[in-house]
Amino acid sequence: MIRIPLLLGAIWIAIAFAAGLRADQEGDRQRDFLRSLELFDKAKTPDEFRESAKLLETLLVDGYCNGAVYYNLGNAYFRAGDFGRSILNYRKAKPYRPSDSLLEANLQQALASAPGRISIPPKPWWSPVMFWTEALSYPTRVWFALILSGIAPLFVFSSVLLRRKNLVWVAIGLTILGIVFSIDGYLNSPEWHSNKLAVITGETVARKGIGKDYEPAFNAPLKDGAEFVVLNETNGWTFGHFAEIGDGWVKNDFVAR
Amino acid sequence: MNREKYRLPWATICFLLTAIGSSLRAEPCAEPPDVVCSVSENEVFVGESITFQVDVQNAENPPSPNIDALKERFEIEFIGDQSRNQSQTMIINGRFSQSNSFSHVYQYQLTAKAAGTFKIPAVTVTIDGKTLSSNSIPVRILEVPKQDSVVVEIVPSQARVYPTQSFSIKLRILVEPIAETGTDPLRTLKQMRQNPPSIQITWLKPPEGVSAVDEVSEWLQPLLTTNNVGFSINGVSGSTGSIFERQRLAIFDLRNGQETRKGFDDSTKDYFVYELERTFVSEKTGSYTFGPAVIKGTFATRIIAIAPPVKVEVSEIPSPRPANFTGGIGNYRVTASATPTKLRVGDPMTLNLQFTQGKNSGSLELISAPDLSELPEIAEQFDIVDKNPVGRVENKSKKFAFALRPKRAGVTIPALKLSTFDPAAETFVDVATEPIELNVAESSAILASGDLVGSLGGGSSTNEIKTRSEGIFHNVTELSQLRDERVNLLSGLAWVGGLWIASGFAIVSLVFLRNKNSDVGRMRKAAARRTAQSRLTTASSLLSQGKQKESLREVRAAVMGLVADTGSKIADGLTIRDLSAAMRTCDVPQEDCVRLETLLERIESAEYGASDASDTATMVTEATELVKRVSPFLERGSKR
Repeated sequence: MIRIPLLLGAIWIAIAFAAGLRADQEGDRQRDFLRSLELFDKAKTPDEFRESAKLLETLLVDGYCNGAVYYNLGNAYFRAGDFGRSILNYRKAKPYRPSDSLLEANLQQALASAPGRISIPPKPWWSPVMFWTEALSYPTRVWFALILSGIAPLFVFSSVLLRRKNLVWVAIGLTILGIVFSIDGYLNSPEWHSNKLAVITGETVARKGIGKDYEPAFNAPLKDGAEFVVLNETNGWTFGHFAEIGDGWVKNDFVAR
Repeated sequence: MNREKYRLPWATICFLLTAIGSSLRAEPCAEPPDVVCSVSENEVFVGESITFQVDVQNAENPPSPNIDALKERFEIEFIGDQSRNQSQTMIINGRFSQSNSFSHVYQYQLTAKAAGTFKIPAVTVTIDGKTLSSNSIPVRILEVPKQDSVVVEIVPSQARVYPTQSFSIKLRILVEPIAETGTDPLRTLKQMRQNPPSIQITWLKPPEGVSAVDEVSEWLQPLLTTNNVGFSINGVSGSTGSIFERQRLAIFDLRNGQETRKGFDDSTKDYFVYELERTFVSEKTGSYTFGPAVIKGTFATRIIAIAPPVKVEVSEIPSPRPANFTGGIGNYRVTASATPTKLRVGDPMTLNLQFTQGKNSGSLELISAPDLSELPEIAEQFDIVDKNPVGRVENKSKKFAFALRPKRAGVTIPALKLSTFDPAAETFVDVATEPIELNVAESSAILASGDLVGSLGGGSSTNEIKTRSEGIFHNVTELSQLRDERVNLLSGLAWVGGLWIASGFAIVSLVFLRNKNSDVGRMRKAAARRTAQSRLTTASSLLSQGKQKESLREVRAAVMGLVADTGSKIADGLTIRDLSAAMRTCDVPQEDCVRLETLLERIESAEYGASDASDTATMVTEATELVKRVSPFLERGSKR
C-alpha cells in the first residue's frame, strides 16, 4: 500500500525535475538570444557581426529549431558581408516564417548583394500544385499532416461502428489530404533542404574531380552566395549541380548547408 | 674478401656523417673576422648603377656594415643580404675532423652622382666591439657624352595622384635613323648580328607604397619578340624551350611609331619612338621616385643615354570634405534604381545606387554608402531603414542596396546629388542620379495585414515598425517567439501508422463480434442447454402447481428443443425417430438414447392420461438428468 504513494512521489519529482531543466534551458536560450541582439546592435565591423552570429549558432545545437533565430542569423551574416551564409539562414527561416514579408525582402536583398549569385535553382514541379500550402509554416504543415492522417482511422472505425458508409469517404478524403500534407511537409522540411541544397561561402574553384589536381569545372571561380543542389559528398568534397552552369566538385571548406 | 666487404659501409657512414654534420651547429672557426668588398663593374657612366658587395667573413652573425662613407658620391639602395655559412664534419678511418666557414654577404646598388676617378671608401663592420674596415675599390665614373641620336625620357601620366588612383610611368626612347639610309638602327643591328641595346630601369620592382597593376611577367610577356629587334630590359632572360640550352636574354619590341622634334642644334629631326609603359596604383601618401633609366648599346655608334628620375606625389584628399562626399576619387557614373516602384506607405523598397568607375579613378573600395539621412529630399519622404549597407563590387562597379519605406503616398525618389573628388581639377564635384517615379498608395491595407508585425515580433505595433531605425534588417526581438519549433514528420507519421494499426485491430474485433452475434443457428446452439434447463425448471414449477399435462408438455419441449437447437432443426416437426437418429449421429451413448426414447414415449402416453403426479415428477427428474448427460454429446456433435 505504501508503494503507490512512493511511486507517485517519484514520478512527480521526475516531472518537476524535467520541467525545471526545460525552464533552465529556455532561460539560457533567452539570455543568449538577448546577448546576441546586444552584440548585433553594438557591432560595427564584420567580425563583430560574426560574433553575434556565432552566439546565435550556439542556440541551434541539440536539434533546437526556430525561425526567428535563423532570421536573425541571416541578418548578422548579411551585415558581416557573408552573403552565402546569410542566404542559407534566410532560406532555413523561410519554412518557419513563410508569410514574413521582411524575411522575403531580406532574402532578396542578400541574393542581390551576393557576389556569387547564380540563377536561383528552379522551383520544384509540385510547387504550383501546392500553392495553397505556401502560407503555412513547416510545423503547421506537419501538424496538419499528422492530425489529418490521425483522424482518418477514427473515421473508418466510426463508420464501421455506426454502420455509416459516408464516413468512409470522409476518412478517404482525410487520408489523401494527410498524405499530400505529409509529402509537401517532407519536401519542404529543413532536413530535406539541408540534405539537398547548399551554398558557396567564399571564392573557390569548382573541379571536375575530387582534388586540386583536377581541371576547373567552370571557366570562372565560384563566389560567395552561389547556391547549388547537392548530388554527392565524399572525402571533404561536395559534388553539386549549379543551375544553368553545370556540375562540379567543391571543397567542403567553402560550402555551407 | 672480407676487407673489401666492410669498406663500403665505412665510406657510406662517413658520407652520411658529413651530410648530417653540415646541419649541426658549427663551432666558431679560428680565422679572424674580415670584411671584403667588390663591385660588379669598375667603369660606369654617371647615372648608371653598379652592384656593391660586402662580404663579412669568419663571423657567425655579423651586424650590417656601416656604408655612410659612400653616401657622398653615390645614391645607395639596399638589395639584400645572404648567409653563406658552411660546416663540414668528416670521420675517416675513425679520425674526426670538422671545418666551418662563415660568410655573410650584403649587396647594394650604387648610382654615382658625379663623374670622376676615385676609390670607393672602406666600409666598417663592428664585431665583438672591434671595428673592422674593408678594402677600398677604385672606380671610374664617366660623364655621359652629350648627343641627340638617342634621347631617353621618363614621362609620368600624372605628377600628382591621390591614394588608390592609378598612374603610369612611360619610358620613351627616341632613336635617330641611320643618316645614309634613313632606316631604324635596331634593324640594322640585327642584320649585323649585334647584341640589341639594353635598358636599365628602377621600377621593375615598384617602390614601397606603390603597387604595379600587372606582375612583371604579365607586363612584359606581350612585348616579347623573337626577331631580335628590340631592347633587353634589366637583364631579364627568357626561356629557350630547350633543356640543353641556357636561358638567353629576352628581347622586347617597344616600337611605337615615329616622331619629329628639335635636336641640340635646333634642327628638326625624325626619330623612331620606342615606349615602355607600366601602370601603378598608389597605396600610401608620399613622394615616389622613378628612375634614372639608362640605355646602353650600339645604334649607329656605341651610345649611352640616361633619363633623369621623375617624382610622383601621392597626396591626401583635401579637407574639409562635403557631407555628401562618397570617398570616390576620379570619374564615376552614378545610377539609381528602385524595386518595387509600385507600393504602399510603409512597404519596404530597395534603392540601388551603382557607382561605375571611370578611367584613372581610385579604388571602388574607397567608396562608402552615402548617408541618405543627410539628404533632406530623401530623409523627409522616406524612413531610411538601413543607413549603412554593405557595398558589393562587381567588375568596375560598386552597388549599394538601401532599404527605404515611404512615409506618405505620392512620394518619388528625387535626383540624388553625391560628391566625388576630381583629381584633375583638385576639387569636389557633384554627380547626380536620375529621379525615380514611384507609385505609392495609402497604407491602410498593409497596416491591417499584420505580416510586417509578425516579422518584428508578436507584440510589435505598426507604429514601432515605422520608428525602428534598422527596419528591413531588423532582428526579431520578441522572446515569446523563441519557442522550440522542431517537429519530426517521420516520427509523427510512425505514431499515425500505429493509430491506423490500432484502429484496424478495433475494426476487425468489432466485425468479428458482430458476425458472431448475428449467427442465429450458432446462438441457438449456444443457448440450447440453457433453454432446455429453463423449460425443465418451468415444468417443475407447473408440476408443483398441479398442472401435470402442461408440465409434461414442457418436459417434451425441453428435450425436443435441445435436440432441435443443437442440430439446427425445427422442433415442431420432430418425431421420436428423428430424435433418435440425431442423437446417434452425435455419438450419444446407446443407453441414454434408449432412455430418452422411452421417456418421450412415456410422456406421450401420459399426455393422454396414463400417468399420475408421481410419474410426472419422476419424468421431470429423469429428463433433467438426461439433458445433462446428452447435452455435451449433442453440442460436440453439432460442431462437426
